[in-house]
Amino acid sequence: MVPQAAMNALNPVIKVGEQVAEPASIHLGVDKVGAVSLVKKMFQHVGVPEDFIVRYPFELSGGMRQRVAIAMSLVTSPNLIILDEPTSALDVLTQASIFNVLKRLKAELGISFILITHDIATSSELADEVAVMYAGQIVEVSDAYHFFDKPLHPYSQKLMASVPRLHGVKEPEFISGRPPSLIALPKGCRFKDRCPFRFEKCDEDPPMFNKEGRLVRCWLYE
Amino acid sequence: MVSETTTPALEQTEKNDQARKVILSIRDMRVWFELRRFGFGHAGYVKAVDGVSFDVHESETIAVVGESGCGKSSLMKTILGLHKPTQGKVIFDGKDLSELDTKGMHWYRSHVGYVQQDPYGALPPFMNIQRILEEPLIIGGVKDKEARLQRIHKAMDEVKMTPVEDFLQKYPHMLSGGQQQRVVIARAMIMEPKLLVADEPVSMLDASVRVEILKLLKGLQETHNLSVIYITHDLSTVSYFSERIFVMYAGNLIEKANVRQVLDNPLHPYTKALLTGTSEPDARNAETFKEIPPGEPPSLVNPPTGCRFHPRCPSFMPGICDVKFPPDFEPEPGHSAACWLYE
Repeated sequence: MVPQAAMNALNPVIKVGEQVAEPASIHLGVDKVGAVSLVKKMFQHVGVPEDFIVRYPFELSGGMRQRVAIAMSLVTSPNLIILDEPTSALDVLTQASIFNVLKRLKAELGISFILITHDIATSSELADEVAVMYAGQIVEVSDAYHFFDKPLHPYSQKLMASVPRLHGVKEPEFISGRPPSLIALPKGCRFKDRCPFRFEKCDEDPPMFNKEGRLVRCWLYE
Repeated sequence: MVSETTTPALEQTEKNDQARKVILSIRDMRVWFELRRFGFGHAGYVKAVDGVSFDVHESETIAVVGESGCGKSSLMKTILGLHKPTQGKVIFDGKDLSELDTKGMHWYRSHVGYVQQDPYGALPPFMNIQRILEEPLIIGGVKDKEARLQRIHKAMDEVKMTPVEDFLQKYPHMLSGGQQQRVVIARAMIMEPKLLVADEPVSMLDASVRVEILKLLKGLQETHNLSVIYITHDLSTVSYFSERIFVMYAGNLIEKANVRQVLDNPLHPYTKALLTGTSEPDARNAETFKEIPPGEPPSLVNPPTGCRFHPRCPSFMPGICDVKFPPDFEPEPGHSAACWLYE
């Protein structure tokens, strides 16, 4: 698990090397000497200089802290890492370099990732498969290639249109209205009040439809 | 070195914009913060802004783009008069900021609006919306209560917080992030300023709300002929909001040009890196590694000699880049870059 804000996730009064080693000593029973070499190896994977072991979190930049947090999640050699908005607090270049690290880990160590994010653009940096969530439900599951090419669910389409592009001619649009309260959910499709394609059928709960291997929760694809 | 930084590019844009009045001009501004050892004893300076000059014209939107720690917030706070520049001048509407007295600063502040980055932190939690919006009017000398209420209604209308009555008695924590940011914008607009300084106004908001707020700002800019200084680290939001971009790195403006010129044909290696680093939704991203410069922005206490980007630069030329500070070169009209490649 890699949390969102790396500063808050690291204990400010413990050296980062110790913090990274902690899961290993608890779960794997690694001794102190073993832990040091393990941490060094992890730091190498994520691109943190080895002598950072004895530093405290406040001595590191935001990007380095996030790398340390990733190293910490790597130390027990997991098969799955959950990333909760790993780069939302970081600058553009730092963000890109963190994703380079994650891509390398994926290729070299074969780790699976679940990336949770509100930013479609960053999700395309890592994802093989995309699931879009709206008001407590998954509304679309698709392979990344087709998803970024042409999203199916109206909400995904709107979401895609709201992303500002560097070279696009089209102005980004926003989705009018706001998500429904999760206490009093509307009957039927949860997106219907904001949906441009709304029709009678939308008052019934849409199931997941299978459209050429992609799943979408929308009556349009019945 | 100092005088070289006031550039041919600037004069060029001034020529193009002769019809428009210059509303704010910054001349060779330096903002240094002194470092002290144990509370006394000089230990150097943090050179947050080091030799920045530019002009803002009437009803023009300008984006200052840079990573955190490059000095863009210090630049903005000096423009607002919260920091005193160590050197250089801020001239607003023909008046030098450093020569204004208390009354003059009053006048200045009523003509410059400020939109903060974190809307929740910017709104006092113990005041309701009406009180928050009334405050600048009271300080600005609007004595009549009815007139104040009228202006509050007008400002709330403009930021599309309707029906106004529903919101006036609410407290900031009762509003969503987007609504809070609207209140912050209404507060900035209520004195009908000529210049709006927006410091990352959308970085704390969701993608869709982000676009809504940017459109709102753009609408206000057009209806009120506002000049806007938009400070951001996100190049992708810049393209449809501003006319000119200034790219800032380690306290210097390294590239100045129109938006399309920067986005379609970046000159400075740092701008190129920033553009590569910005993600766009595309499945191919997952298969490619991005080429980004190694390392991190330099310490502003002891910045590298010569060009400050040279230790990270892919086109570093030994003997030139690490020795001499690059002035602004202008390889194409209206587009300048502080880089020796374009000498």
